[in-house]
Amino acid sequence: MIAFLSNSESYDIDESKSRGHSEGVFIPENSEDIKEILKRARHEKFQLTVCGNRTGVCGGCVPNGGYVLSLEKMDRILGIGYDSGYYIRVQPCVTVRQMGDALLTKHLGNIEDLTEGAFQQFRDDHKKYFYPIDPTEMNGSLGGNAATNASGPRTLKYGPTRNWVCGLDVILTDGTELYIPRGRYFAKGRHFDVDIDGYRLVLDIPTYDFNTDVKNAAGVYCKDDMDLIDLFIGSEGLFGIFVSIDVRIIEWHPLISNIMFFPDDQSALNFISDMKKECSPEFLEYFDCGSIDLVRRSYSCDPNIPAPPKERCSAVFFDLADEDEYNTISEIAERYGGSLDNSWCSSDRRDREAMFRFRHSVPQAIFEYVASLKGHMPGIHKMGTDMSVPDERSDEMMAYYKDVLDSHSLEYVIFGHMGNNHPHVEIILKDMEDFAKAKECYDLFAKKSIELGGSPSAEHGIGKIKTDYIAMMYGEEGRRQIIELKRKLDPSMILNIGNMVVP
Amino acid sequence: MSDCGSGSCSTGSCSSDKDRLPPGMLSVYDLNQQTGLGTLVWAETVKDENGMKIHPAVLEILGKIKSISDDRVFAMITGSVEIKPLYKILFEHGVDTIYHIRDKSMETYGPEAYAECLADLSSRINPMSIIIAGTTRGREIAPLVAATLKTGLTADCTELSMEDGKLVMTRPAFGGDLLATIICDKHPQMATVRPGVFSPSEPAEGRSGTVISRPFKPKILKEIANEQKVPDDYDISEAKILISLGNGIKDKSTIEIAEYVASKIGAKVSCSRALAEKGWFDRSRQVGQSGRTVSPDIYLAFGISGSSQHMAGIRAKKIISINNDPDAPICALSDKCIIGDATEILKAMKRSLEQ
Amino acid sequence: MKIAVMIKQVPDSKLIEIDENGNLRRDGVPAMVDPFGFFGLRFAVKMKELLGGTITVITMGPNQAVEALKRCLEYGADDAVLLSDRAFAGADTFASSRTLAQSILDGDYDYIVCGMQATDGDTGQVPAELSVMLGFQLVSYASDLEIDDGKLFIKQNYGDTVRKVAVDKGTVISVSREIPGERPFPSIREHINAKNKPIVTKDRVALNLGAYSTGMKGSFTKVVKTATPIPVKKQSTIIDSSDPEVGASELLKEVNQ
Repeated sequence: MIAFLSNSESYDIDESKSRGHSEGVFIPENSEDIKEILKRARHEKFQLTVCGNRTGVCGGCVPNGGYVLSLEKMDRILGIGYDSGYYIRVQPCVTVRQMGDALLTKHLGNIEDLTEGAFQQFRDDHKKYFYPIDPTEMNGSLGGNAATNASGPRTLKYGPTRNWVCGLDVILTDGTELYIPRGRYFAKGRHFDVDIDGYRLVLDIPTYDFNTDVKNAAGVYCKDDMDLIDLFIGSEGLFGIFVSIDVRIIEWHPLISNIMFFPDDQSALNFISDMKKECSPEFLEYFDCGSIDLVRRSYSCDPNIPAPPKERCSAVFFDLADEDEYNTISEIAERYGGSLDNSWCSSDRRDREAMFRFRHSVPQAIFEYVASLKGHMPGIHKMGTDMSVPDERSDEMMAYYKDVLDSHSLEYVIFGHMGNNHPHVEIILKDMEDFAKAKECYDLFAKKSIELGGSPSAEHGIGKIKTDYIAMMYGEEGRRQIIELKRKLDPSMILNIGNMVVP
Repeated sequence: MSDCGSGSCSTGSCSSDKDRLPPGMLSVYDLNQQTGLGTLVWAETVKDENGMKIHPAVLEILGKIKSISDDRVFAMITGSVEIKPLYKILFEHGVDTIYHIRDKSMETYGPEAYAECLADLSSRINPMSIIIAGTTRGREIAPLVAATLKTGLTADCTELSMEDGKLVMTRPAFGGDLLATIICDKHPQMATVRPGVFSPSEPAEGRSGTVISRPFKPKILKEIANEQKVPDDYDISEAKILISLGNGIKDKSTIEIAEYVASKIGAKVSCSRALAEKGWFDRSRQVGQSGRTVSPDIYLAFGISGSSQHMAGIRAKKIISINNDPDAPICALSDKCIIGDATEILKAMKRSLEQ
Repeated sequence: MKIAVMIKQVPDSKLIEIDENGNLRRDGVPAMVDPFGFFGLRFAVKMKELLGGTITVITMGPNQAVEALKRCLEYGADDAVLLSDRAFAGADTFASSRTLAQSILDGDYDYIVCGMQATDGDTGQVPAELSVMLGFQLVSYASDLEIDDGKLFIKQNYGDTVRKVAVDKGTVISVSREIPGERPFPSIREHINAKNKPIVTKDRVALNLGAYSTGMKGSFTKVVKTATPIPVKKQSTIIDSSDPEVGASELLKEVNQ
């Protein structure tokens, strides 16, 4: 008996606060359950939308009719292996936080040895290990992370989720379960013809140029002679359902988290620019004055969010491995009106977690604000940019954001991964008129970022709300090729329809 | 007696300090070992709108003492004439001798003063054990008494028993993840008891005892600048029905709905640790190991998963859990397990009650 | 004016689990300063701001407890003392208090600030026992402080009443609530400076304590058994309430009986 809830209202929404509708939700416990549900979907011809913890911000798991398939029960860590480095096998709804805690305490429960003696070896190993991709949404599922190729502040140094997934167990819509390790199945040019344990997979992948010079999560990843696993990573649920994900982990080194405050926006941006050239932080996160004001307003009574200084200020958040760099940092800060005294600093795990919560409170305040508007503006959803450009075009892009938004008289905050020239520009919407204007601005930004050699969706993915970007980036031909690939792998067109492309 | 000098006296050790033992002697011979008898309690009083009463937690410990021992029970009580009606209650719950401390300076609570008095009384009576209810004040004076009498104290006990004249005390540790059973090898044996765990016994109608009026002038008095009663004391520990909200409640606006339903059915609203930590409720409404222990007739757990720390705080006659996860630990620990959306069910209850 | 703050290094309780055999998994669990002890430090920092003086943070524990002391040095303590000796192990609250009292007498402090209770033992007895051993007064459940006319007043929260008491030198203060500091975290400067603040380690002999004063030998209570609590399982009736009306009417029936 597969668990089923007919009242699926709480499953019809994700963090973008866009609301869909569904007839109910299935909650499978294993591969067999999933195959059973897929079979029913094919025979009875209904749509399935897969969800993890619903922390996505593009509506990727929001259903437009049909049923929801929630992977919430599949939340165990399954095994550990060693292959010139440790890797962990997890079920899709293991969260980033859960994995972080388990790796830290080495309390992994009763897990399998994926290579002989790996678990014992790991436990006996005195060194500490961690999983470096740290989206600030720590309740996000690893399945969701793999499906959207999620990134976090540390992507500056470690790359996105793609660089860390070394194996996937995926169920295709026809019910076939495939285990795809990295490094085994390759395309020849743009064509796959591979045999996976007896199952023959023949596919043509899109011919467009997928930009890897900048952070890019727009569209299906495709390259000449690519690895099959990379087709699934970042595919936003179009090609199959992940049953387990293998991720590599690396040795942990002590880090000190720091947040430095500056008198205005430009000083913080200048500080970041010099930091990139003169020091080697793990990541560089930017908060403009407006975003700090937002945190101050929204969370003054929340004991879990540390309170920013009372006076108006911008901030830069970075992690440091080497304390000797503080001398240089002090110098750079003083060039722009900052100092070592006007800062927060800690190497303690809990303090650092609190600083990460602070970082996350900015987008969270915006999510909650938008959610509160939904009462009288049901069509509204969060409008945040997710555009990245190459280093040398960064100043130009920042100036463009400001010009366009100011000329449209919109209120906004800017924060995020300046290390990757990938800030989030969040528009504070007041009414549906603002919403319409915001959409206009975002279109302009998307086109500009592409023009400057960047990507309009650097980490959030496309989901259901940014489907316009696909044609913008890859043309109508690119869009068509993605749809064809989708039809090949999902002939009945039952899985996550509406994500990335609207057929 | 002549001056003993430093320790090499053949008549044995005159020092009770364990550090200064004569060579070859392994431990102090404690003459006090077997002569202590009876239990001494502190009858804490509280004032409510009806006047003075014995703190309910004291009646709980008296009930427990009665069930584990037949020895005499002594009680210390402070206050003036308004205390007299309370003698009857103490006798009916098992006290044999009341020491009524009559001194103006003892009418206001002061931890050092009350502890000094209790310690002084203990030296006089020589009880086998001193048991104090683990109320806010009880937990303050018990260790003062223990340090003064140089004996051991076991705090926040959730179980007590007697074995071969020794008090066996069990208490939670590590936030409730562990239960430790402890004995004390000095007299008097001291314990504080967690309120809400034991039940008072049936009062023995017409039972009587002795009252001894005792003067006492404490050495230390507190310089109290002012003292105010905390208004609106929302006390979940007396509620007969509790609507308790847990982490499964995602929307803060549900609290209002719960309060409405509670007001209509004569219940109070409590919460799990997660919601107290989020700041949704004051700590005084939290049920669990690190919160309050409650013993309602019915405990309705909305969106509570049922961690052992939370369950440790519940001594209800009936537990009903409302959860959308049939595998939540609380289901196996409830009398009834309703599988559904907790918030929606509260809303439905509200609609019914509005009619 | 000298303030001594007593802290404990405890395992992070949020990460402690019970393993398959019902035993507490304490290994690998990272440690932290006990939360109430940390409140005590914050309280002492506020006292220092109002009255001047120095703060020494003291803890009794194994060598790893130095990490907890370093954290306190970053958050405003001026120097630290680690009381470490195998002879201290297994101490009940009386023996712990005895050991701590000796270190305080060693340092001649005016005020002792402690957290209300530590999250491993949860007893909350040490501040009171210390006050008796030192001949100090006790102010428990301290939630706030102020200076009025040059005199220090502490607000005590007893739950049902709130009391303001005048406090002189020679007092043990037990803190129940956090008074937020000026900043939620130390600044980078404070973090760097903390590395130069002294940490002294003392063992039993350095404290002049006899062999029967500390640890298990100095304790009057002993643990004879430990167990993990077994929740009482019931024969529960399961009711499907995908329709909220079903659950609602069931519950209303129950409470009207």
